[in-house]
Amino acid sequence: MKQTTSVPIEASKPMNEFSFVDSFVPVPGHLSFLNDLQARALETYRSLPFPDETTSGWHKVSLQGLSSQSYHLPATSIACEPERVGVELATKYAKQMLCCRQIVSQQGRRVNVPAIQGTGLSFGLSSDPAVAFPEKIIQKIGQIVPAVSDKFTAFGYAFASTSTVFYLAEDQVLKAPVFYQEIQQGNHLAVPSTTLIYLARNSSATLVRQRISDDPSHDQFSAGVLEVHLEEGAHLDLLDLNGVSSQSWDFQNQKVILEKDAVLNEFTLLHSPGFSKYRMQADLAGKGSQANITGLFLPAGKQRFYMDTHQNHLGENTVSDLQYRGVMDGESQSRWEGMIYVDPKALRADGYQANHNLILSRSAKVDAIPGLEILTDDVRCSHGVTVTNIDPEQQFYLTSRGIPGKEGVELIVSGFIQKALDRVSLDSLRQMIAEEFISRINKTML
Amino acid sequence: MSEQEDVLRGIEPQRYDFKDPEKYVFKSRKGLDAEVVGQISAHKEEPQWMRENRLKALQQFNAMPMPSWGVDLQGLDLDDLYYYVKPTDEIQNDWDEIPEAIKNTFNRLGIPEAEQKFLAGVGAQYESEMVYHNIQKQLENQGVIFLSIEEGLRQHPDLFKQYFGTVVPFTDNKFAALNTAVWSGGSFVYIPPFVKVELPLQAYFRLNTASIGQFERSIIIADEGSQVHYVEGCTAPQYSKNSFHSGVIEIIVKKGARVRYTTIQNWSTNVYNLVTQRAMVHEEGTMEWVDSNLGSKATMKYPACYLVGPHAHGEMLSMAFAGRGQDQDTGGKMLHLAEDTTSKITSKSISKDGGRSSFRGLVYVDKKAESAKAKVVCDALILDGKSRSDTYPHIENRAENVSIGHEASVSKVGEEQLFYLTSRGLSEEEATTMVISGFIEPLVKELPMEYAVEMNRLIQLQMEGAVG
Repeated sequence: MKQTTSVPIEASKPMNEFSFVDSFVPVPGHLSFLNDLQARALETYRSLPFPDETTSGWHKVSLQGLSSQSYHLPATSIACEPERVGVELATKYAKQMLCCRQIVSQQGRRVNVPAIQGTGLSFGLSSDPAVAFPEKIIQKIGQIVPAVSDKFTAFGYAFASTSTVFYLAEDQVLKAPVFYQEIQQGNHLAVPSTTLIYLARNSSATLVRQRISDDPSHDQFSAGVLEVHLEEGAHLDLLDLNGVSSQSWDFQNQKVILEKDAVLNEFTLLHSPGFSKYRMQADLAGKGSQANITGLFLPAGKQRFYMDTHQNHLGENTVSDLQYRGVMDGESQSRWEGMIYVDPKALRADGYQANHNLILSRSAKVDAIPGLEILTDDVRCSHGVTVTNIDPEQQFYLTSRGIPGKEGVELIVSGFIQKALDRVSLDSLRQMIAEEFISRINKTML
Repeated sequence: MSEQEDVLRGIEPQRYDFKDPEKYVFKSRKGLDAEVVGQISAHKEEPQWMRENRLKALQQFNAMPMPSWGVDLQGLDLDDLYYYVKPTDEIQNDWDEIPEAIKNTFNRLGIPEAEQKFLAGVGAQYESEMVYHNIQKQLENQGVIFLSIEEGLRQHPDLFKQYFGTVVPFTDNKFAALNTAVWSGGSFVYIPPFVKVELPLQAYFRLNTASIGQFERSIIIADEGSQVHYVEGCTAPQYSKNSFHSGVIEIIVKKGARVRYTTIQNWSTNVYNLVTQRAMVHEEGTMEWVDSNLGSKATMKYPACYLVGPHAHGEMLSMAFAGRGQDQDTGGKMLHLAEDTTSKITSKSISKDGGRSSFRGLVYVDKKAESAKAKVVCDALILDGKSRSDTYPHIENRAENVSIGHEASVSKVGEEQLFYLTSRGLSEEEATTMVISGFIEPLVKELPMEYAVEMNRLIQLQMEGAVG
């Protein structure tokens, strides 16, 4: 007779601090504002303990197995690469997209930026005097996601020494998507990162951001922040593809602020990290702003994914629509926790969240925790969750049409995944994701 | 319908809001320690094991922290409460022998009317003891036991000991520990194998003395293939000082048995209501919770079904109405611990005048629970801009071959519906009340008729002056 619902979690030993923390001395950059931010973040980082079961937002998240002592920081040096090095994908899609990369290794960071003159786009590192970002944009760094949010967020600001900034000026419309790769190079690398995407009034862009490890066998630790600000009428299509290695630990904290009539279409693919803690928050602050958020997570083996999503309706007539789809295999664990918050001022808000889970293995664990906090009456908010396995009737139908067991399962899974892909608005990108990622994952999963 | 309307007119609002002068035989001093627990046990002339059990639970209660989630319990001072008040000496079986003051209370609640309607049995709890107990002869002949919990312990010590604390152990949570330490009053029900109790068993619970804690403890055992419907209705007079109610209900549904437990909770809006209700459902058994929460200042209540036998089924119909100053934190838990188990939770909540209603639910599917099916549907209505509605369902799955569905929605009363009804000549208030009646209809239709009438009337009372 079972008396308790809680799943036993191995008694966790106190975590060891990263070996570089005590001796770390920030190298002053040319922007005093960022120097201050880094100093404050470092202080916060040192003062906070590692989160455990009792820390808010970390329920059921165990950090056991994170060998913090083995990681090294990249050097602070920054170099610009003179030419485009042929990384498979970037080369293949070079004609259709503006391709750029950042390689982070123990030697430092190397960035490669294509010719973007005349597009209104500024892209590069905040510490690079060659890229002239408007001061008010740089001032936004650390203002959207505060460094004090949690220990791993503070880690990003404290140790990154620089920020990646993507800024599009007023009324500029980027015709081609920007394809930005962040490559983590070397075993036992710790990758702190902070990124700011800022779209000024009525500008519009499509950004594909892919984070990958140089070698699938490398053990890396990454903790990063993604800050997004969309000014009035700005429109961003953001595809976030998390492809760090299956040995890696990945902590990401993302927040998007939407001003009046701004639109965000976000698609997140989470498939490869061994451990992922991902937090996403959309603040629909301006009247009539809109966020369509899609997540596709495909854990297998012993992968553990923890996802938190927050749709905060703060302004009138705001619309949010979130859909997270997961296919879980092996002994994987995944947990999605979602919240729609409607402020008393957010009249006529319309919020939706859905989480659909397809289970392929009897050892996979899945938790789904949707949530609604509604503080006004003139709203329409709802959510839906399903957890299912492969429907034997669907399989029978396929078998009766001459498609045998395994192929049938593949087809059902593809159909399930396709519903998430259908929410990517640009045809070429939908196709790229399907071809480059999904088909490959499908092969290894089944 | 016209007959129902007549009944409705007969119920005036004051009926649920009155108090009697205090009359009691024994009242413990304020606060809680081993001495008070010992006094309660001594007054009840309990066996040694129960006394020891109470003291162990008291230690557990002192050791556990207050819950950090759910409702705000800041206003609850556990040291400023009377933990035991004994109103009269004897358990009564004849209505005429009941003291006048107590009878008046029940008259206004309509118990004799219920009796007249040939209901199966009436157990009325006034403060901490059962004062009136009656059960129809034929049920007694069938071997059905329907006693106050104290009598249950006295008359059936072995049966009692076999089940007490097996469904809700005192280590379960802080308030279950408290209840185990100071429990007093409640029902002890046993239905023998294959006996079907056709009419609902009923018990009314009432609080009267200000600042007393009421800690009823009920055990319902439905033996193999039996069937029973237990109804618990609560109303409480209005007081300015906060009162506290913390009950524990343990239900055992044996193979193929069927139990329905219906609660209409209408404590006055100064009562903290923290209740643990749980059923252990064995092979092919069915447990149904019908739970409506209208009263209290703050309620935390999540009736649970532990589906431990294959093909067991759990069902939960929950309704919460949060008015001014109220926080209804309610929901349900379904734990699928065996194969082919099924469950369904339907929740309806309404928030008004700054009230807050929260649905908190859990569906847990264990690795062993192959082919489990679960469904959760939550609907919430918010009637004005000051009120709040929250939904926190948890779904945890450890099995492969399952089907779990959850959906929830929050909205206000549709303008189109109101426009349609007002264009047919209804006032806005009448129209809103009608929409709400329709909204909670799936729950109300599962109630016995008298309760359905009372419920609709209570909703009407809540809605009076809502629009204006």
